[in-house]
Amino acid sequence: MPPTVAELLRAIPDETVVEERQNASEELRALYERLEKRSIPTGAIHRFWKLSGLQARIGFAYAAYWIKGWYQTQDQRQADLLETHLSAAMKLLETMGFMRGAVMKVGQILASFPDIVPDEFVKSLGHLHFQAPAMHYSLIREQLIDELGDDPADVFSSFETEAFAAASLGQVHRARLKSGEPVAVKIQYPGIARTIRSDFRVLLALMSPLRLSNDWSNLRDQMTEIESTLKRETDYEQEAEFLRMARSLFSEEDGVIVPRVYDRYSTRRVLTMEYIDGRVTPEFLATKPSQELRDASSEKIYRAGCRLTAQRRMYYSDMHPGNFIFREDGSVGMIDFGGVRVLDDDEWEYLRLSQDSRVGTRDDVLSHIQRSLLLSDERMQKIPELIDVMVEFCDYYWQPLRQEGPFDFSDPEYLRRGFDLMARTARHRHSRQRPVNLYMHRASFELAALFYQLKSRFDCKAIWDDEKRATGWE
Amino acid sequence: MPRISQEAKRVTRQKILDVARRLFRQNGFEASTTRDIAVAAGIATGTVFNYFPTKESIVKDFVVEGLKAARKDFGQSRREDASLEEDLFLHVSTGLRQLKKCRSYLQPVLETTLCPVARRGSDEAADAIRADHLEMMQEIVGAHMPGQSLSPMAFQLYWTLYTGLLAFWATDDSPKQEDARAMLDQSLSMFVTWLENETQNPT
Repeated sequence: MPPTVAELLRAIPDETVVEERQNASEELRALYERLEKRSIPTGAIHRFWKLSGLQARIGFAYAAYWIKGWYQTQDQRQADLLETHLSAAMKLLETMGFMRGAVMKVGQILASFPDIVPDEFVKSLGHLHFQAPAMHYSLIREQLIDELGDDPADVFSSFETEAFAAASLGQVHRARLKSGEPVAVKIQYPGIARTIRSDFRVLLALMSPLRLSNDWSNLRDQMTEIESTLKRETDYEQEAEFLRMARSLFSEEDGVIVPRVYDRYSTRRVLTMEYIDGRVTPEFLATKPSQELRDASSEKIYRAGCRLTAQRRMYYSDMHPGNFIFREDGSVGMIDFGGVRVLDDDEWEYLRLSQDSRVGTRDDVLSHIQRSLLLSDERMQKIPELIDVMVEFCDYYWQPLRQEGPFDFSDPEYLRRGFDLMARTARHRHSRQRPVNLYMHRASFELAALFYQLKSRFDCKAIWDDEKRATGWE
Repeated sequence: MPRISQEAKRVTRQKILDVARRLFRQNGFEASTTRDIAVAAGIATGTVFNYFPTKESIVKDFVVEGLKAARKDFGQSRREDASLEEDLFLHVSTGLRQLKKCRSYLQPVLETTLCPVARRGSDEAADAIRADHLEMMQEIVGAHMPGQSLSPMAFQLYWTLYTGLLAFWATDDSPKQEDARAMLDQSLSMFVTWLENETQNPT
């Protein structure tokens, strides 16, 4: 049974429909009805709808549109040839039980496959998990004895046996140091890093029939990018380093709190941080904060992201509602740096040049697209339809940064355009692109989704320009 | 000839065990002979055989002592509001932590004593290890599922899982044997689910 419109609408963040937005809601409904008329395999999709979390719902909505975008007439023989390999690859993805944010990553992988997505793939998607299995206290205790050298009852003055939050590939427990500081102890599920490594090796091997395609090298680069992202998330020592780098950027006046790391109680698989009290995003929204507070909080988050990029070349990504803590005094805590990506020199130059393209002429935009998709001059001439879609995509992507004055993220029209463009881009089946794009685009969509939830309006351009000026970037 | 006192026997026995542990760790199990142990302990080779007929029986002793210490650890670390899965995990993991010292030479014992197809009745020490472990497992299950008795299949399934896990753990070269820990967690989760299902829908 295809999903009902009601079920598809649940992919959009919960919203209170107000009268002035009904037109946008109607347009959304019409979009979904159009898509619904195309039959899609939905057994697995149905199971996905049950997953909670804004990121999962938004991420899956993207993936679903990408999947729909592939449906068109195909040479059946060619489709059959690829089906076995790709089906096997997806079954392997089923066993990657520990990938957080897996749908977004899988969607990216799917968008790179140069051919039709068979029904089998989508059925396999239903078995993907979004988090490591929950760990009971006996397992937590064993992990901590190995990592910190002693029973948690002896390492800490107190340690809560129940987790209070889920985390990247593990879970978080509250504790108190013997010196009295309240801390959050993040503990990773055993063996995940090796699982990811071996799974990706096998996945690439299964995809090797695609190596004859022109885009294989780039496809492999993109898969490597995804694998690197997952591996980074398993390295809590790296995350601790990111936390230290980020913490040094903010003072009390900024209203952004990055927790302190306690090195003595942290290892590659255990991260002990200052406990930041407050409400995660859904809890914050449940208090019905004023527009002013929502805008001010969003500005802080956005400014923090800009400063991390401008001063440390860091992209803060792979967000989930638990990443941000909204505090009584109006400050915002940023607590999960597992998904951070640091741009290398080449990527930094690419970002810098994109800033010029954003404010330049159509030719500047085309140059950006050429750099982004790694196209030759000759190739650019042969794919005018894709180029037109990409120009629209750039306009969409840069819209908040081009607008003078506050940008209204509460407008569902903005998200709807994003969905539409993702699907249209995917339909052109161009897989070649800079691997870092996966990261940048995801970060951008995640932020838009977060600010949509917060229904906030603020001046993105002024904030970004301000942060760039502060680093002397210009 | 003066009779050897019980205390002297105990001291000699302990000396053999200490020396054997050191030699196994330094040179490996295969490379360490009974003669090497005798020489290092300053006793006759024949004397070693009086206490331990084979090298494997020395390792078996390590296992018995280790699991005895583990039982004590388990009792001290057990929590009142722990789940069945948690208690079963703690029972096995305290054992593994004590056996860690002899992990590199556990293989011979795994092939005879701690193995799914070990023949019962042929080795008193082996039978005692198995019986002790299963008795504790039964007690743990009984505490969480009062009034339910375990079927022979439940015992056999559990023992197969446990010995399989031990075999994996003994040769697990992942950092801090984290792969074995994940396997223990997931196999106990599977066992408990099966057990609960069996209890509700007995076959």
